This record gives sequence, structure tokens and C-alpha cells, in this order.
Amino acid sequence: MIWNNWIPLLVVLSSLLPGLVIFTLSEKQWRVRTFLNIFGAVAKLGLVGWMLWGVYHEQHFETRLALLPDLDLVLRAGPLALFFVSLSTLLWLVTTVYAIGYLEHSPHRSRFFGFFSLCVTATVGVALAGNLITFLLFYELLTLSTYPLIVHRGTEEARKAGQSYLTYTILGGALLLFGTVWLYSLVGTLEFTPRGFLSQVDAQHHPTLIIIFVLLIGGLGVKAALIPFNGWLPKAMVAPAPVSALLHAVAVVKAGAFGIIRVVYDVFGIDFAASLGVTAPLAWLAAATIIYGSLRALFQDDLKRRLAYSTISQVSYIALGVAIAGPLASIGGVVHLVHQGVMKITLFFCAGNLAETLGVHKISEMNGVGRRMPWTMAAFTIGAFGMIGAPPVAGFISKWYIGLGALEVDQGWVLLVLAGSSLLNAAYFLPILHAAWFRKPPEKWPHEHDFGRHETSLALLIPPLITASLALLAGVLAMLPFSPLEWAKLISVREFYTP
Amino acid sequence: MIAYLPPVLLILTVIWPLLLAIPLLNRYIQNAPMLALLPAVCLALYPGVIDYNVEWILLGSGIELNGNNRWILLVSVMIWASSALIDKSHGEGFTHSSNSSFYFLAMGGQLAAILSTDLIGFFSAASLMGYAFYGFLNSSIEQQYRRYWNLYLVFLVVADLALFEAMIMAVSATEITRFNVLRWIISDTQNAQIYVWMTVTGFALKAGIWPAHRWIIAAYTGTPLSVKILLFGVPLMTALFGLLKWLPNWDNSLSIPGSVIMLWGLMTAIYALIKLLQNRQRVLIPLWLIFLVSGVFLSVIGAGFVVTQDWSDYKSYFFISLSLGGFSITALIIYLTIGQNQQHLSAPFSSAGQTEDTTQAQQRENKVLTLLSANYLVTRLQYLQVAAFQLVDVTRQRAVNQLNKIMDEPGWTVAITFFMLFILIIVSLSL
Amino acid sequence: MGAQLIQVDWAVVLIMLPLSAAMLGFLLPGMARNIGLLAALLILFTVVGLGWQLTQTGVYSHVAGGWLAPLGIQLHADGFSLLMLATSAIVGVAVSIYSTGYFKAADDQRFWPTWLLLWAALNALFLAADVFNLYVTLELLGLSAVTLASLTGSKDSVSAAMRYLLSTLLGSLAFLLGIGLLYHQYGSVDIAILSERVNDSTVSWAALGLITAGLALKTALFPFHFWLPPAHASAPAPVSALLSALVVKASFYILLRLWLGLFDFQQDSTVANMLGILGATAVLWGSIQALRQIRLKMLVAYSTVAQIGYLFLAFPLAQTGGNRVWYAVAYLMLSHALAKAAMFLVAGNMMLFGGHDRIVNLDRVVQRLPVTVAAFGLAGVSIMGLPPSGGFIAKWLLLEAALAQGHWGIAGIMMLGGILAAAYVFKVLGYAFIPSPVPHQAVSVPARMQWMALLLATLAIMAGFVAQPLMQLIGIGALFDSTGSMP
Repeated sequence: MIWNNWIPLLVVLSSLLPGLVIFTLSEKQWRVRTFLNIFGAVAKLGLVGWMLWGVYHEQHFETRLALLPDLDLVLRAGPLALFFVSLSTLLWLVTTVYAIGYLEHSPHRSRFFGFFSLCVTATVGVALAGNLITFLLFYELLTLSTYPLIVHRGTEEARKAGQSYLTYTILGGALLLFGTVWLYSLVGTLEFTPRGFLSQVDAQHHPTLIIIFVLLIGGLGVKAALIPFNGWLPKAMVAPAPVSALLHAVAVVKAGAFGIIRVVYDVFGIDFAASLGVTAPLAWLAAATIIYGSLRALFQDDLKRRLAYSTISQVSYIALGVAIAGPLASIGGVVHLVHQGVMKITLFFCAGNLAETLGVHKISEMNGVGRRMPWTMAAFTIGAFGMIGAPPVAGFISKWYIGLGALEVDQGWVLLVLAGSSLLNAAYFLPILHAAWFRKPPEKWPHEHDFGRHETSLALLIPPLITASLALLAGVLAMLPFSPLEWAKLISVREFYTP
Repeated sequence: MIAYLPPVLLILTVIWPLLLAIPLLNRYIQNAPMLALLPAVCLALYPGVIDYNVEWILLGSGIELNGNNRWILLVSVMIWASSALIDKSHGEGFTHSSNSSFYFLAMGGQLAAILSTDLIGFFSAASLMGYAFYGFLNSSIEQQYRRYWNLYLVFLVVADLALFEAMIMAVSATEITRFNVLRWIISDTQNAQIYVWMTVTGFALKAGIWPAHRWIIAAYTGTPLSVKILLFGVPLMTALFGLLKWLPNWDNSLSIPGSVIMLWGLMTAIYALIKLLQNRQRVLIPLWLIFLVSGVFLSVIGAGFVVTQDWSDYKSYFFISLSLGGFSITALIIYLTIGQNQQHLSAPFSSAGQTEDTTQAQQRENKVLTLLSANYLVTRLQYLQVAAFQLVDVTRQRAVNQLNKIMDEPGWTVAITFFMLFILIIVSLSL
Repeated sequence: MGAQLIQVDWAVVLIMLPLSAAMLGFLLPGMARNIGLLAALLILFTVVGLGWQLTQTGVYSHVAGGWLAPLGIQLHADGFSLLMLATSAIVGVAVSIYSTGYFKAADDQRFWPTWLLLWAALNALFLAADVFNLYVTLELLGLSAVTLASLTGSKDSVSAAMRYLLSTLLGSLAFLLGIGLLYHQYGSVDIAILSERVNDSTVSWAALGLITAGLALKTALFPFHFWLPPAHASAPAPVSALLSALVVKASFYILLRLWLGLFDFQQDSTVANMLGILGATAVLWGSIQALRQIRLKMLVAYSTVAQIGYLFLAFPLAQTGGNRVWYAVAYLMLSHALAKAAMFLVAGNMMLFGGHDRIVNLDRVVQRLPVTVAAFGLAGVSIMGLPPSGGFIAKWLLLEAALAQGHWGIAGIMMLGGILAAAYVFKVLGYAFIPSPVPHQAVSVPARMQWMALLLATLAIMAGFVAQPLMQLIGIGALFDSTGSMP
């Protein structure tokens, strides 16, 4: 199948080309813009579905273009890559619908949707990258295409947030670049390989490899919001809600976490990394981040800021699952990539709905919103319980596998971290739910908009309901084929551990 | 066709109430609570044992009906039905109010928990039931008791954490989640002790065993009859049922935790007895009986570990007695409460909202009984609790402000980060 | 047809075409603009022809008028020359089209002939095969550049141009002394002949020193960069673009060619290391200064100082790093020329639009001039060396060489330079998004001026995707491959 060699490229182009065309459209051409957006998203979904089927049946999809004389731009759809691609494609479609509703009357929508598409292009590229330099390329593209989205509102606060975001990510990108070039000059290849390609490196270079590992993880950790590199994330909350949703669930933060998975499994190889002794510190760092993020979240009154700190905490589950270095834990870490995405995007959609419909931004203003917007808050509740790790929402599955995996390799302390984090999650989510459902609503909401029959406009309401159902289904139907969990197991067998 | 019927009935029993939880459905269907219970009633009357594995649900779950849980199911169905009936006749009207979704979620959760065959399924269903029941009761409970009722939420979270740890211990040691096999294997594993501790703590919190019992008192005194009778039948009975299912086979290798459990149950029973002696109000008798039953139940389970004897033959009696206890307590509540004016109910603790006279009267009554030193201790604890709540309120606000101020300074963030890293490293090294 | 086209002396056309156009422009001032535009397009076409010729027949040599060196004028074109010619042609065409919007009719007659003359000098310089011709073209280039820089006639620009003139003369003088020494010693000015004769002697060393110093001054290597920022910042925008993108590259081109052709006798020399250190300092100093600027054009000008530093970082790396380093340098020259020209054109647009170029008062230009800001952003990506861009490819190769040889300092400087570049680029972009406290009267900017900036910036990005074919093209004549094989 010669076509298979072009499908990964088509997947990238299916959002890049609409994005570029959208830039040239005027504000008034919203029909064309919407059509392009939806068309690109649906086309991408179809292509990804096709690849999922193919990869499940052991077909190969690889696009290879020359970048440098001896380095190629490789887009390859392996199981792990597809896992992330499916997530971003699906959520892109949902978020696009949401964003169309959210920004209905705001200015500069062409610019917004253009960069939005670029952002997804970069994410998909990050996912499909078949070697470290391709990864780096799309990783930096992601940095650049997100910046205009963060400063989209054009206020001084937005500018400062953008500046802070760049300070962190550019430094992170520099570390990553440094590590990549160093690795390349040491071993002469950057191709992602199942179970890593470094285990044959001469023992005298092992200290160097440790430094390279630190550089790479440091670079990726900035986006994955590991401590102490996460100062940008709460500030970036000035962006419009769909951007925050995408940033937290799919694009930036996830790209970092995904990169950590790539580096640990496909560059170093988990066994080799463990023998270098670098996974244990990573696990500690991730654990500390989990607790730190939850602690900070506890004290935020701004809803989006609380969610931001929650992201810091939740994304580190991925790093933790990866760094525990056991097959089961790796399943937990990888599957959380999707689970966290679906749950967190739900929460952000709901936060956006509250802000857009009622003008509610703070938790202290949320009394009784459950009565005014029951569907939105129902979705929020599912997302919040998922974050806490209550079954049967998807978050439980991740925690379960991470915990089991930790016990499998005798790392009992991880259970304490999980328990502590769940407790803190409960401590900062349950009061919100309590206020929303059981307190008396105020006489008057801060800025109420009337959307007619429904509690808010349907374009805003349906996306969170879809993602909340997905979060629920991913937990309840975890054992069905093609469920996130089953796919994560497939990844673990094919790419991580020698069967 | 006939072969498919029993599993379909099983699944329907669980799914149907959950579907009715959607407001659009339950708002426009007449007699929705009764309708929701219909498959459950059919199932409870189904002759024979059904076991159905649902591999694609959660991490591979299953539902079953056997001689043990049939009793519990039956009692539970009766309790839900009578609650709905009373609600309808008294016009308390929760089944058509905005919190009816919680009602159906709790119902579905409980039915699923009763029928589940494995740890994870039970855990999921029971926590769904717990949170939904919290929400359901929250809107019908009187304002002054709500603060105590909120304790239930806290206990739920902590209990779920403990149970989660217990489950993960069990599965990592045995790779088994089904109850009927697990019970026999878990005793032989290294982590059996931790497993037992976690399980008992979790379910004791969920069942409101003394001293985590305040929320039951609040819920009992602060709610109308139709809600009140759900109290033992839903959260408590499910928790005690879970305890029976989760605990390993009785085995004297676990005699230490066993004796502690026994003691714990006895304490609760003694507490209930003291309260019964103190009691001057007829309507409150079932409340103390609830504690008595659950205390005795717990101590008998604990005794099973201490007294070395093969108890497993008597296992089914536990289930029967549990369902009997549930049934009789509920019946008693209905009997004692019907006809009583709700206004005459007075709170068992001296909080605000009471007139001067009743406080003094109660103090006089209390004086007589202060002879019992245990009672003195109990009242002291109550005062402490009230004071502590106030203290917590004030200090929490201050602490939050201060912490936010400190944490927003960049230097602190880094310092705390490293400090936490340091602690984690030390802890994990020492482990 | 193809066979006939291959016979055409495209190289001669490349010099004669702008020269005659310049003459025509002098003679017919009213037509200057049209003549210039036509010439620009023809030059682009001619370069394509030359490129095709080179790929078919290899290195091109031509003896003008039949006289052999040392007396005659000899032309020589290999892959590196082609790269520079093509760069000049692309930037030249874009700037020409841009200028039709930028200059009013009154300025046309002064701008076009001088610019075409400068173009002729550039092309001749890139095609020259002997050191004396190099000197002549360099001198011509310097003088026309100074003339262009003083075009506005304002006090600032005249004083900056005077400074520029003095330094360019001084640099030429040193260069002339150097080649004088060489001619005296070895009796030839032909680079090919000289490269066989030059050996490790005192005279060679003296010539090396003089030539290097002279050219370093003209290339504005730190600390000889003092003349560059005022000159580039006070010139009209299209002129700044030309000066920054092409003129400073020309003197570096000579330095590189002589360094590789003549001065390959010195291995592991301290001169190379010293150039490297100066380059490193330039990267840091230029970037920090850029970051401190409050005016956009000064910022861009200092950025040039920094980017030139990168070019010099290659000298220490090349001693053991082999040919890849020079490919990286060639690539950097290309992508910097495109990106920097784009940046100056952007600065011109913003200046025209708001009447000033204070960065903090840009006042939402991102909404008013989206194309221009996009151009700045894309050019910035290449300047920062972020992927995907030509700048990234070049810096990747340089960084790889630095790390492979354990030049940690250079690698560190490069990373730091990239981060600082990001800082100053995004400083501008950040202010482009927000409203200014003093809103200003907007003047409309012609679309072609905006799109030309975007075109150049896009090309700088696209350069990141065509590294392999471009490097094959650069490799024609194997100038860089004396120390190793083709990459």
C-alpha cells in the first residue's frame, strides 16, 4: 500500500492547510471558516481512524522526507503515536465546535482559528514524529503557535503571561535542542526505536548519557509543568477558555508529557534508563509535582487557576507512571495521557461556560450554579470525580494501574503519593461541587447572558457533555477493544517491554 | 431466549434506575421510584442463582444473585419502596424535586453494589451510592444539621482512599478481584494485615461506627421520615455488607486486627447502650439501635478472627441477620415516627436553635446520668467538637490568606519545592 | 535550445545588466523606477540561468576580453558564488518591489541608479576570481552603500554615513595593503594561482592579518561593529535591508573565500580562535544590546551584529570540524539575509504606519498590519534558530560540530544567543498585541510592501525544508570540501 506512506503527512496537512487558508479570510467569512475548520477536523478523524485500524493489524504508516543530508523528517504512526494523535484529533474537533460557540461575537477570529489549527498541527506532528529532530521541530512549532493564542486578548496581563510562557518554553526548548544535538553527535542517530536505541552505547559514555537525559527531561519538563518549571501555566490562564482547554488537555502540557514517554521508552529504553539510575529521580520529581500542584490548587479562588494547578498535578501522573519503570505502571501512565485529557478538557469547557453564560470566574461566586446550569455542572462533576480518581470515571483506571505497577516493582511509597493526591483533589474539587449543587444561588449573576431555551448556547453545552461521556465510558468500558486502556496495553507490549 | 432473560434482568436492575436518574425521564414519568425498582423486585423473586460476568465493564466485572445477597436485595427493595410510598403519602415530595437524580443514582449504586461479584465493581457502585446519597440527603436535611452531615462527605473520601489501597494491595498480591476466590487467598499473603486494616477502616467510616458517627445522628434528626428510613437501609447496610464480602476468610493469623475490630464494635455497642439509657424520646430509640446493631455486628465479625473455629459454614447467617436487622430497624423507625409531630423532635446535642427551657431541662436530665463517667466523656467531646468547628473556621481563613501570600513569592516556591523533594527522597529511600 | 542556453555567459550578463540599468537610470531619471524593476526581474532570471548552467557543467570560468590574469578580468562561479548571487537576487527583487511603495517619485532618481550600481558591484564581487578585482568591487560596493545610507539627508543619517564611510575606507585600505603584499611576494592576484604559491611565511602572515582585520571591520565584527547600528538604523528601510542582508555578507564572503583558498597553510592557528572569541562576544554583546533598544530599527541592527558573530564562530570549529561547518556558515548567510531583510522591511512598514518605531508604542499593529507582524514573527523564528527554518538548519550543523569537538563554550554561547534572540524578538511581538497608552494616527501601508516582507520571511522558513538540494548546489566546485567529503 503505497498510500500508507503518505497518510501521516496528510494527517498533519489536514489541519495545516485549513489553518493557512483561514489566516487569509476576513472576519465576515465565518461560513467558509467554519466549514474549513470542521472539514479539516473530520478529515483528520477519518484518516486517524483508518490508521488505527491499520496499526492494529500491524500495517506500517511512515512518511520520510529529507531534512538534512543525513537526518530525515520522519512521521511514523506507531501505536503510541496514534494514541496521542487520536486524542488530539478527537478533542480538536470538539474544541473547534466549542470555540466557534465561545468566540461567536469576539474580534480577530480568523487569526484565532488560524493559530488554533497550527497548534493542532504541531501537536499531531509531535505525536507522529518518528525521530527526535522531527519531534523537536514540531515541539518548537507548538511553542510558537500557542503564543499568539495566549496573548490573544491583547491586554497587558496577557502580554506578561505570554512573556512568561515564552521565557519558560524557550529555555526548555534550548535544553531540549542541546540534549538532542549532543545525543546525535554521540551516537549518530535519533530514530525512535521500540525499547530504545542507546543500550549498546559504550559504558564510558554513560555519565554523558545521564547528563543528556537530564537535559532532555528538563526541556520537556517545562512543558509538562514539572516542578520547578511550572510558573507559566497558571499565568497562561488569561487565554480564552478553548485555548486553556486545548493547552491543558491536548497540546502543550501533553506534548511535554508525551515527550517524556518518548525519551524514556523509545530513546533510552526503560530497562537501560533504569540501569542508568535516572528513572528513580524522575519518579520523585513527578511525585513532588503531584503533591505540589494539588497543594497550590487548594488555595486558589479563581476557578481556572485552580484547574491549572490541578493540571500540574495530574500531568505528572504520566511522568510518574513512566518513571516507576514497571509494565503495569507504564500502562497507567500512558493511559492517563488520554484520560487526563478528556477529563480536564471537560472541566475547562465547563469553566468557560460559567464565565461566558453567567460571568462567574471565581469559586466563591459559584454558589448554586448547579441549579442554573445543571447539565454543565453534571459534566463538571464527572470530570471532577475523575480527577479525584473515583470509579467508574476514567481517572480511576489510571490510578489503579499506576498503583498496581508501583507495587509490582516494590515502590510502595507511590501509593502514599496517590492517596495524598486523591485526598487533596477531593479537598479542592468537592467544595466546588458542594457550592454548585447545594448552596443557594445569588439574586443576580455577575454577567448573565440569555441563551433562550437552553441553559447556554448548544455549541457550548454539547462539547463538555461529549467529553464527560467519553471520560465516563473510558472508565466503564475499559476492557473493550480499542478502549484507551486496551490500546495502552498494546503499546506496552509492542513498544515498551520485551514480550 | 429464556437463557438470556436472567442476565438481562440482572443488568436491567442496575441500569434502569441509573437511566431514570436523567432529569428529563424521571420528571415526566409517574411513579418513577416504583418503576425503577421493578426489575429489582423481579430479580429478588427469581428462583435460582444467576451469575453473569461482564468482561468489558471496568476491569472485568460481574454481577450475580445468590443465596446471600438475595436477602439484602429484598430488604433493600422494600426499604426503597416504603420510602417512596411514605414520600408520596406525606407529600414530602423529594421524588419529583430537583434532587431526584441523586435519589435514583443512590438506588442504582446500591443495587449494583449488592449484586457485584468483585472488589472493583463493588467499590465503584458503593462510592457512587455514597456520593449520591450525600447529595440526596443534603437538600432535605435541616439547615442546622448540615454541617455534621458534611462530615459524611469527608468520611466517604477517606474511606474510599482506604478501600482503594486495600484493593490494590489485594490485587497486587493475588491478581484476583472476585470475592469468592479472594476471600480464601488473601489471608496467606504478606499484605493481609494491611488489607484488613484498610478494609475495616474504610467500611467503619462508611457505616458510621463510633466515633465516626455524628453524621448519622444529624441525618436521623434532621430529615423527614421518608429519608430517615433510608439511613440504615442504604449507606449502613451496604457498608456492613461490603465488610462481610471484603474481609478475608476467618483465620487466626489475623487475630490481632480481629481483636481490635471486636473491641471497636463493642465500644460502639456500649456507646449505643449508654445513649439508649439516656434516651427520653421514643423517636430516637431506633437511632441508638442502629449503633447497637452495627456495633454488635462488627464485634461478631472481629470475634471470628479471634475465636479459632471454622466459621465459614455460618457465613450465610451473617447475611440473613444483616438483612433482618435492616428490615426490623426500618420497620421500627416507621412505627415510632408515624403520627409524631416533627416539631417535637429535639436535637441530641445542645446546639443553637433550641429554647432556653429545653436546654435547662436536658441539662437536669443529663445531671442524673452524669454518674456514668462515659456519658460525661461523651458530652465533653461534643462541646469540644463544636468549639473546634468554630476555631477551624477562623483559623482556616487566616491560614489560607497567609499561605497564598507566602506561596506567591517566587523564592518560597523554589524553597518549598526543594524541601518537598528532599522529604520525598528521604522517605522513599527509607522505604 | 538547451544547448544554446548553456553557452550563454550568464555571469557576464549578471554584471552588465545592473550596470547598464544603473547608467540608464542616471540618464532617464523619470524612467528609473521601471528600469530598475525590469532589471531586477531580469537578474533573477539570469541567476536561474547561471544556476542551471552550473548544475549541468560544473564550475564556470570566464576570461573577460580574452586577457588572462594577472592583467585581465577573470570570472569564476562555483556553488558558493551561486548561493550568494541567488540570495542577492531574491532579496534584491523583493526590496526593489518594496521600494516602489516606499520611495516617493522625488527620491526615485537618487535611489534606483545607486542601488543598481550596488547590485552590479555585489554580483561582480561574488563572481571575481582574483584578489584585485575583489578589492575594486569591494570599494565600489562600499561607496555605493554609503551613498544609499545617506539618502534621506537627515542629520543623523549623514553623520552615520560619514562614520560608515571612514570605516569602510579604512577596511579597504587594510585589505589593499594585504593584497599588495601578496602580489609583491607571489606575483599574482589570481586566487587559484595564489593558493598554490602561498606558503607559511612572514609576508603571508602579515597579509593574513591585514586582510582579515580589514574585512572584519567591514563585516562589523565585534568590536568593529560601532559603525553598523547607527548606519543601518538611520538609513531608509529598504536600504537598511540591503546593507544588513547583503553588503556585510559580501565582505565576509571575501574573507571566507580567501581564508579557504589562500590561508589554508595555518593549521590550528590562534587567529582562528581569536576570530571565534570575537564572534562569541559579538553574539552576546549584539544580543544584549538588541534587547536593550527601545527603537525597532536599532534592535534589528544590533541583531545583525549578533548574527554576524555566529558566522565567525565557525572559524575555530572548522579547524577540526571539517566541511560541514562551512556549509552551516553558507546556510546561515542565506537565511540571515532573507530574515534580516524581512525584518528591516517590517520595521519600515511600522515606521510608515505609525510615524515612529518605538517598540512599547506599537499599538496593536498585529491587528492593523497582520501581514507585517506575521513577517516579523517568521523572520524572528529563523533569527532565533528555531525549527523549522533556515536558521535552525545552520545552527543545528554548527552546534553539532561544536559538541562533536567538545567546544562547550561555543555551544553554550550559541544556545545563549538563541535565547537572547528569542527574548528580543518576542519583546517586539508582545507589544504588537497590546494597545499603546498613546494611540497614534495610522497611515495606510501599501499591500505590496507588506507582502514583500512576508515573502522574504517565508523564504527564510522554507529554507529549512530544502537543506539537502541546496547543499548539493552549494557543493558545486567543492570549495568547502578540501578537508573532507561531501556531507
